[in-house]
Amino acid sequence: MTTKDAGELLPFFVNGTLEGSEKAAVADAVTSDADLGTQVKALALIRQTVQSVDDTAQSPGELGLQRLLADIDQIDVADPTKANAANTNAAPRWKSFGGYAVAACLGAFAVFVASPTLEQGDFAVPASGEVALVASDMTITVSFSQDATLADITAILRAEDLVIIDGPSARGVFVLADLDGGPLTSRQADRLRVLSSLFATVDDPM
Amino acid sequence: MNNPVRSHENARLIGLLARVSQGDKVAFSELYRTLEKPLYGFICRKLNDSSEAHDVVNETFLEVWRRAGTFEGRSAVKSWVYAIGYRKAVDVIRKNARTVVSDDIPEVVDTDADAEACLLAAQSGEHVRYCIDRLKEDQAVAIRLAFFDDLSYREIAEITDSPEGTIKTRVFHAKKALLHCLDGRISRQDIPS
Repeated sequence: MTTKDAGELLPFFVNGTLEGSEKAAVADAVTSDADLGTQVKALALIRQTVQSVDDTAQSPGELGLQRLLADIDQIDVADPTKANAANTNAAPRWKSFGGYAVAACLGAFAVFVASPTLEQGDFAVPASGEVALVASDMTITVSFSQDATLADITAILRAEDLVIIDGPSARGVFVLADLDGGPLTSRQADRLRVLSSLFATVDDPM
Repeated sequence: MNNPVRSHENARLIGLLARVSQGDKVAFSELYRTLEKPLYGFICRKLNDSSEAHDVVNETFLEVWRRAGTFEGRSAVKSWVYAIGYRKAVDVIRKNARTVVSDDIPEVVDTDADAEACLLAAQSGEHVRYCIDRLKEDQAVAIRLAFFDDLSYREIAEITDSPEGTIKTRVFHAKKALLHCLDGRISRQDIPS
C-alpha cells in the first residue's frame, strides 16, 4: 500500500471501520511514516471535536414523532388495506412555507397574516381590544402554557399545518387557522388539547 | 460489520424494522427515537437549513413506515434510512435549483500541510469547527458521516449512491483541506521546536 493509499484510508482507520488486510496495511504505513502517525493524532482530535458538537438541538424530536404518527393514522384511514408498506402517495403535511409563516407570526407575535379564505371582517374587535371571533369552523382559539417554548409552538403548528392569524388578545388568546384556508375540525382541536404542556386552553372550532 | 457493538445495534434495529413492517407503531417510535437526531444532523449538514431538514426527516420516516417490508438487509438499517434521507435531501436541492459545487474535480494543493502544526491546531475545538465550516458541502457531509456517525467508506458509498473510490477520494480531499486549514490557523512561532 502506497503512502497515498494509506492517506486516503486514514480517516477510516481513525474511526475504526477498516477491517482485515486494509486495516493491517494502514497500521503498517502509520508505524513506518512519522507524518502519517501525526496525521492520525490530528484526525483523532478532529473526530473528537466533531462528536462533541451537538448540532441536533433543533431536531423535530417528540413533536415530530407525534406528527408522523398522525400522518400514519391518516394513511391507514385513507386505505386500511395498505396500512404500513402502503406506498400511498399521501403528501407530507410538513410544509416549509408553513414553518416560515409560523415563525414569522411568532416572531412578531401579533402580526396579522391573511389566510386565503379568511378576511379581517371575520373578527370583531370590541372597544376593550379583546379579540372576539365570529363563530366559524375556520379557526381554533388557543392560549399557550407558560412553559411552551417558541420552538415547540413552531413545531406543532407546522406539524398541524396551522398558522396564527391573530393574537395575542389581552387574555393571551391566539387565533389559529389552517395554512391552506380549509375548515378545521374538533379532531384537530383534540390533537392540540392533548399537548397540555403546550396549550393551556383549546376551543373547538364552532 | 465486524464491530460487535455495531452488529448488536444493527440487529436491534432490524428487529424494530421487522415489527414496523407489521404495522407496529411502538417499534416505529423506538426506531424514530434512535435515528431521528443523527439523521437530522446529517440532513441539516447537507441542506444547511433546519426547516427543510425537518421536512426531510418527516418524509424519510414516512417512507420508512411505508417501505419497512422491503428492507432486504443488504446494508445496515442506519445506512438504509440515511440513504432514503439523502435522496430526499438531494430532491430538495434539485427542486430549489440550488447549485452544489461538486468535488469531483480534486482541489490542487501544491504543498503538504505541516503535520505538527495541524496537530497543534486540532487541539483547539474552535479551530476544528472553523475549518469544518469552510469545507465544501459534499466534503463536510462525508466528514460528518465518517467522524460523527463513524461509518465505513462502503456505508457512505451506499448512502450517497456513489462509487467507493469516489468516497475515498472525497474524504481524502476533505482531510487534506481540513489539515491545510488547520495548518493556516497556527503561526510558525506557535510550534514548539
